[in-house]
Amino acid sequence: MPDPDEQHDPIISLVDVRKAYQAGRRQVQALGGIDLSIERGEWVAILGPSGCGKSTLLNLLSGIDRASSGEVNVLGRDLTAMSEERIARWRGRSIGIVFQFFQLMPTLTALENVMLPMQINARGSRGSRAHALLERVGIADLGGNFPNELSGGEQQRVAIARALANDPPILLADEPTGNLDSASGQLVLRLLEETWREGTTLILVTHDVNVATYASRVITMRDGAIVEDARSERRSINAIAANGS
Amino acid sequence: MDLFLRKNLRDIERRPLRTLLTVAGILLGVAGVVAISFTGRNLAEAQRQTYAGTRQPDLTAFVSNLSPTLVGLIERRDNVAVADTRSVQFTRASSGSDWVSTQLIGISDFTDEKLSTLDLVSGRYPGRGEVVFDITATKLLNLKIGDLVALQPNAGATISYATISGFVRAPATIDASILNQATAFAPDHDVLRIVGQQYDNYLMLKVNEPQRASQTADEIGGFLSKRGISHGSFTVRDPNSFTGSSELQTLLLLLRVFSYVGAALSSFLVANTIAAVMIEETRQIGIIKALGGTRWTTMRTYLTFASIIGLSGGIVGWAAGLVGGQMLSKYLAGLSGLVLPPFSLSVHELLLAVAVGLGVTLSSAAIPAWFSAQRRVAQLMASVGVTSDFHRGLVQRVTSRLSRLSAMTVIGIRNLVRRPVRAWITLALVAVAVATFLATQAVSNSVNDTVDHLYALYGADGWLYFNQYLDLDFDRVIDQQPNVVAAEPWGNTGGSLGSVRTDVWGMPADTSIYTPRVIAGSWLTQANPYSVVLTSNLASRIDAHVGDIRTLDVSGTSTLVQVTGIVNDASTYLGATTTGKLFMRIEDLQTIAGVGGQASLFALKLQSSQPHQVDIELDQLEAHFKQYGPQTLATYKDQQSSRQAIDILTLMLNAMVVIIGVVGLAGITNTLIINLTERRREFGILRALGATATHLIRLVMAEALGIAFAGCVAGIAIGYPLARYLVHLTGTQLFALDFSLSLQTIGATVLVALAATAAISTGPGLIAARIRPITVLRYE
Repeated sequence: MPDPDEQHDPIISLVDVRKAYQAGRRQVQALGGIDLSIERGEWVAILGPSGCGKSTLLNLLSGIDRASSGEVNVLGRDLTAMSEERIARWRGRSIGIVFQFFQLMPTLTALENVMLPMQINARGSRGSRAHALLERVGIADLGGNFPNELSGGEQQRVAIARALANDPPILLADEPTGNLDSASGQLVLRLLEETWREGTTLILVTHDVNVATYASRVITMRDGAIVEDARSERRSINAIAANGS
Repeated sequence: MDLFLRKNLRDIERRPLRTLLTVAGILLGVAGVVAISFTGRNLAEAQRQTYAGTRQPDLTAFVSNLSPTLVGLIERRDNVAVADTRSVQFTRASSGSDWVSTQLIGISDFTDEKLSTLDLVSGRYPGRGEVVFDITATKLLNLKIGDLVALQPNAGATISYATISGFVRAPATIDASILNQATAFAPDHDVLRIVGQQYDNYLMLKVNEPQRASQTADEIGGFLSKRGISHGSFTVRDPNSFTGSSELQTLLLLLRVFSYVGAALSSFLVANTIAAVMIEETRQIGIIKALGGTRWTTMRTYLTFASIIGLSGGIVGWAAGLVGGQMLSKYLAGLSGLVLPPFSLSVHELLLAVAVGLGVTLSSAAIPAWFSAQRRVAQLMASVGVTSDFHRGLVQRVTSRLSRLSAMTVIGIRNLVRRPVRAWITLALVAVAVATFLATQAVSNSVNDTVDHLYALYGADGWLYFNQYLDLDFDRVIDQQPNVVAAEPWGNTGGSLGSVRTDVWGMPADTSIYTPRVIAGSWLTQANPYSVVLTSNLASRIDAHVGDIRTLDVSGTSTLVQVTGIVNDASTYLGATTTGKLFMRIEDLQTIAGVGGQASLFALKLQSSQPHQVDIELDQLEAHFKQYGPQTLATYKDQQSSRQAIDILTLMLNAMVVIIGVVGLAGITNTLIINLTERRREFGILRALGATATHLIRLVMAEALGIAFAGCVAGIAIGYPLARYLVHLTGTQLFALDFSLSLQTIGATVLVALAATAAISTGPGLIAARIRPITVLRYE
């Protein structure tokens, strides 16, 4: 397990990042002057109520969205200066994303969904690696099933396997348990923890305080601003689950 | 404004590209139907006006030595109203470069033409030493007013020069570019001097009772034969027909079929669009129904939407059709020398446009609207639009192995079966377009091949006419010329079997130049009554069989003939008004015609069939037999003019096919855009997973090519019977056709369809590549 205290290598750096949306004639300020630095190997939970800007922040980190102003530097790349095409290629190689609603391709089987990012990035041994990833998330026997033939928990496990397909150094998860029952949610969190233990920087967005407690660092947001940034000695999910708190 | 109407107008505004594509599809469908209807009406009117306005003759024939006395005698015969003559000479003209075959026509008084009056286009009518050209001759020769042109009856003859004083359009004559022959008019005395003749040789008659024109032709033919006056067969003009009319009617018939195919394709487009709109708005329909809306409310909403699109496409299509029709009419009328009436509007075309525009859209919108209106509120409200389900099936099995190679291709192909109705509609659209394309190619290939086969029956490389009768055995004299392989005395005149007019050909029974394809009985023999062989189309028309005894009327003489054989030979010529052919021994024909033992026409087989060599050899023959007033015609020129006439038919059909192809491609684009709209989220996710523009274009292209390929397979299946039908239809209008559709044509069609689809799918592919993941994930 990585020790956050020994890692002082910031791989994400945000300086005075602002994001505004135009909603009809009205301008909505989603993020207002965010400064943030995340180091390699951290498990960061971004906590806050709906509409506080946490998902917007996550989208800026993946390059899915663009900041209105400020600097967004991820893995040494200034995302504000890159074209959409370059960001897409970079994202495919460097970032794994887990969505709340899984977002699997309905016309591909579970195995094919996991193979998809590898194929986009022209990675070899796709079939065997995809199979290994499904085995890792515990659903190797469901590889031939289409998404509509899987439960929510199973779909999210496929989504995690897909997110890990290219060994990304950063894994972003947007409310990964938000659409799951508690048992499935626990299972998904355990998988994320395993991934983090293997050295992946994990950034997880949630509005659930309990989910946030698993992280080594909890950033609380409100109205587009960071209102608290707390580091703590994190405990294993199993231990928390065993204590019932 | 009605709220539903307002909603519809906003929906149209919200989806401009899709609306534009659908309206464009209807526009093309309506425009095609209107243009063809307008052209048909316009050409019929042009024919009437040309016939009446330019005093077209009812009977024409080449007659040697038409002295004023002889013309006076003919004019006094029963049923003859007006007689006029011309000196028609087949010469060649040059404006400084190559020689071009030219029909030089001498007119005694340009200001007082009794029949076939000319229309002065520019300059003035010619005086002594001057000439006017038909304006279409400028397509063959570089001609300007004031230029000097060289005229030469044949290669060995003296060259004369004339100054061009103007240009005319000879009414009811085929364009020079089709005939590959220019037409020039000069004062009569100049023409006669050039060819060294005393009198005119072309007789034109207007009759009092057109229905008795055939009978009058036979009577005058007999009158001339009895006096030993050499003459050709009479052409009897049908007032309701004109030169090249059967070719134009064939063209219009085929274009009409294709215009309806185009309209049907438009209906697919509309059905596709309306179905997509209704899927997108399933939840809205649920809300409307939850608020108390009835089935009719739902139906009305979407039928109003269809009506707006249909009316827009119909009205713009009507205007476009009139413009297109006017251009098409002008082009076709120009080719056939018809005087086009002034542009006029008809309620008929407006009603047709509205009927097709509204009819197509409403009928194709009614089906999806009806099905949607039947659904319960709970079902409608629960729908999230496109289903995320994908079920196992053939497509999954076929593509499962492919997924290791290209997931994008697999997604594209599997997407096809997620919306089966839409996929089927699009597939049908592509299939019809491909089928139409194949059918057109089959028609043009069949016509071309048949023309080649028909000309292959005639081994003659050229024809030699004399303006006087020579002994039948004059062929031996011609045979002695160094480049002549074979010469045979032939005869050609018009005749009637009962009420059916036909071409009567005389040739030696042991001809080596004509190859009869006997399908019943046997070839000509010496017999009593005379042995005749009929072409199958003539036999069918008069219900004749081998062994029948019939009465043949030639040159005013009725003779009993016995049908000894039937041959397959539907060869014809541009502007033919007769049915089929009757073959008989040259000796028998000339006896009936009153010129026994003599002939003025000889068929020639030359050492070389190469066009250039044939020209040289015919020129040499003309020069050698100058004292007999020879004229020659190369077979290849005849074949060329037939081919050129067919090329116009092919050109027009291809133009129609391009329109249908555009509608087909618009259909695929429409479907791709609808799919794209429905699956924006999936494209966004792919972008989020790192897919580049190339990946997404590949995905959209795979989807498009999947539809196109399936459409091609179905198109070939539909295209074959359609091609058979259209070739049959063309055959009934023109002449019996040998069906021809090669594997290469089918292969090329599939390749063109796939290439065009790949090209147009890059548009929606680029739209997909521009989808930013944030726009579809923002509300997650």
